[in-house]
Amino acid sequence: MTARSFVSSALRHTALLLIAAFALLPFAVMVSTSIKPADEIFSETLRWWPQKLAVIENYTEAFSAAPLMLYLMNGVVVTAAIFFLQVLVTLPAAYALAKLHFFGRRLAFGFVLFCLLIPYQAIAVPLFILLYYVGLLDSYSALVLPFTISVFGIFLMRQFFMGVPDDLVDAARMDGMSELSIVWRVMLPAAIPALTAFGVFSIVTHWNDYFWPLVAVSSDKYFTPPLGVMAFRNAEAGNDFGPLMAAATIIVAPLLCLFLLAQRRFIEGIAFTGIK
Amino acid sequence: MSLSASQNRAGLALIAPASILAIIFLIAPLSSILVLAFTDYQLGDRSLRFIGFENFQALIDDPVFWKSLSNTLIYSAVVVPGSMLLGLVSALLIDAGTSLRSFYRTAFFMPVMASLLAMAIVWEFMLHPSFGIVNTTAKALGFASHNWLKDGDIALYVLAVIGIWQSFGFNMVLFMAGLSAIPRDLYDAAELDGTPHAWERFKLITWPLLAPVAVFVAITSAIRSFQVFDTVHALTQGGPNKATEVLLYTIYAEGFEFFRSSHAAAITIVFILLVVSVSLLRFVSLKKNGEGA
Amino acid sequence: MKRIDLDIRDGEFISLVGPSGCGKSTLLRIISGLEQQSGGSILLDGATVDRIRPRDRDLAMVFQSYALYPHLTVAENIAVPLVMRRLNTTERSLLGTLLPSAKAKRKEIAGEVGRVCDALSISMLKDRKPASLSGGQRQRVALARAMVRKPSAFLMDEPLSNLDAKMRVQARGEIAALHRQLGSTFIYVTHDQAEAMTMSDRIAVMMGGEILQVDTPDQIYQMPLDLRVAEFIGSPKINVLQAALTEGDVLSFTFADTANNRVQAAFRPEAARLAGIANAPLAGVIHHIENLGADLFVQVMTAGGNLVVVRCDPGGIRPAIGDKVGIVMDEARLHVFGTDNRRIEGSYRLEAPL
Repeated sequence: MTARSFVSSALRHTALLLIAAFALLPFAVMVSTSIKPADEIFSETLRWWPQKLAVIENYTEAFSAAPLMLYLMNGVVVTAAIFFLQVLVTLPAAYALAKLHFFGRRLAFGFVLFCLLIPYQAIAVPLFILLYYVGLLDSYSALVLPFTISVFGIFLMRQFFMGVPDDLVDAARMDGMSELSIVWRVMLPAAIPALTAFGVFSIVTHWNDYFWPLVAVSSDKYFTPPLGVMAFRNAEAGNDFGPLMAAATIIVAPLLCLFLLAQRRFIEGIAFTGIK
Repeated sequence: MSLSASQNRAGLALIAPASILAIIFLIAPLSSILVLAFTDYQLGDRSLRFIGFENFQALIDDPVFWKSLSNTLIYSAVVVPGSMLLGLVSALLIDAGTSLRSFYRTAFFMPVMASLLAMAIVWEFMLHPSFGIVNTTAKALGFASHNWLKDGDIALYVLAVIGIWQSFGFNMVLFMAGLSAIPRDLYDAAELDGTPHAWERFKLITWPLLAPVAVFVAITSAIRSFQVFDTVHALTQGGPNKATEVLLYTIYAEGFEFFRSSHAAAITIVFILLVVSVSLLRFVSLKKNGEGA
Repeated sequence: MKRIDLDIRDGEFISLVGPSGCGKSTLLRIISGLEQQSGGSILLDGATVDRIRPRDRDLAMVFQSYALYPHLTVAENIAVPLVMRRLNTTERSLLGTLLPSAKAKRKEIAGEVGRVCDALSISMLKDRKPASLSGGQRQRVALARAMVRKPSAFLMDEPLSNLDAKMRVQARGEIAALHRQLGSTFIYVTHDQAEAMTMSDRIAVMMGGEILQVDTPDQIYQMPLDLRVAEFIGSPKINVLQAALTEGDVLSFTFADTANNRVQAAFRPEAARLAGIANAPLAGVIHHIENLGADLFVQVMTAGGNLVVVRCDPGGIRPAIGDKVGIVMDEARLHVFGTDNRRIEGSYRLEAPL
């Protein structure tokens, strides 16, 4: 290695490590605090690894003070239900928009493009009123139903289906498939990469969503993970930091672990859905 | 049954579930926002009365609304350039070498993945006035300590830093995708043509070819920053003294705490106009690029 | 498309050939039922199929891109048409795999798939996915998927155009042999006149949405009814020259611009030979010589500015570039077309030069 390239490489790593420190600092603080006893948390000296480990105390406290497992389960149930229903609704619609000629197709697609511009928070007020009148507020339905229709999913899958060769669809028709079986037997397997990307997008969005669950449910048996941490903080009056950080770690961990295991998939998925 | 008729039927059948759900959960709410904004409806009311532009008149006279709108714009004005610049620098630095690429990429992307609400609580702890890591470090280095989230002059900017922290990794990924689309040959050609400095090559090749991506990233970042809510709700509740009141938080408070639905609808319309007008900038920029090509 | 009237005989190999955009693929798709005609009727075995869905027309299609299902293995790909026809919805579902009726049918299908694979010698590929196959292998799998149904007719849409030149020649022979062996009707769409010439019983030449001529390869080559047919079929291309037709069926290449008896005279490179300038109806300078080994094609630039190609025997005297030569055509193999491109029948003499 020449001196010049050594210097530039050292500069690159220095700068990147600084940014990495900024990005990772909150995670380090979170984990480090979650394993510290109270007296060390409140001490003025900065120490990453505690002198006396309080892992068991803090995490037991976190689990006993709030039904964290229930919140996690709620998160899993709600995100899984949303994604499953989205796939069920989105794929046939996207296939029709991409490959079938039907009356009103242009109008339907124009509508999809228009709705892409509107963030869901903008229609939260009437959605809330709607659920209030049908008596579905404060239920799993309230958390799931509004997201069963994903114009973003329809748009993304339609764009992907446009690239599937027409020949393949025609071959399936010649082979005797109905249009609906083409969706599930030909388009779905062909769309696995796009569907993975959409899945990553959908799961990350709804696992981390705070606004809608905050509006839609009030009993803590329906709390999703972010609502759970918030409830935990409010109940503990924000002073018992060890267990609070343990709770935050527990809530953040599942998605981060998934991400670390399949980080290529995740990043590609998000990049794929980002550049639409 | 003729072919076109059968395709027509299949198409309509396949799109029916999506259409029905869209009518219930998108079209009906969106149109009722437009109606609500011109009524005096409050949640639970049995009837409603059309009152024309009174809600909007009230907004114009309401200093909190103006504070909320200007805070949202200031927040965006900090977060958009901040997260773009940090994202671009990260992408360029990662792309400039071969070692530890995936480590950095993963590290910078972690804040995007983590629940912002949970991480906001971690930030709150880090910013704790007496034993938070920020103040203890500041003190150790000889700087003054602050009550970051309770000081009306800086609270909004503190939230903006959290916003940058959370979103720059996302922008980095978009920029890296853009960079990977630039043919390597161009850099070799530029080097042979006599542009030895990295900065010169950046000006000559990278930036012009990355410009469409940058426009896209700017618009996406802006729209995301208009939707800032989690940190505000968790850390400041719009305070101190409305210093961190932002549009979505105002909508939330009006619509779901005071149940003044029609008033919330009027602010929502302002919010929608803001988001849609920025989104439409994208079409303008696409057109401009299309003409240039 | 207009005035399409095509009668395909049972068991024949017919090619639809023409330049891209001439409507040949559209015609094939209309026959298959994948596209709807705006008027007229399609009859199969004397019965109209206009209102019958593609899957029920008893036709199989081989696509240009082969259209293999990328997520299924070769054997599964070939089985799809049978599975879709013989198993009902419950039998096809995940649970249905446990049904005894489904098991029996699947076993029977596996047997038929095996026989087709053996016939096309792709048995060793059965468990591979399409992505891992070469172009030629994919083409055979697509063929197998069509064959397994034992359809009354095969529709093929440029099935060889994705193969390299060497594979294409081999595959031509294989498909022609398959046709002889199966004895079913093949309707074959191609833009490559060589494919049409080498494989077909009959050729339909299409241009601009019209069928210009339907005939055996020999007839198409030797007796083109339309100048565009003559120009499309044969390589190198037929020579076409403006001429005047004077009394007594005498063709003249030297004529006044005002002549109102203009025609287009055409002759193939092998219907002419080089000669001395004296007494030759055409003369020019040798512009370029293409030596293909078995043939020697000499390009001559005539005084009128036309490039005329003449086939020579490479064993004979080699002309040289720049030589002044005369061209003598075989009058019996001279084609004359009117200004409307239609053939004008007759026996012609060439005007002796001045």
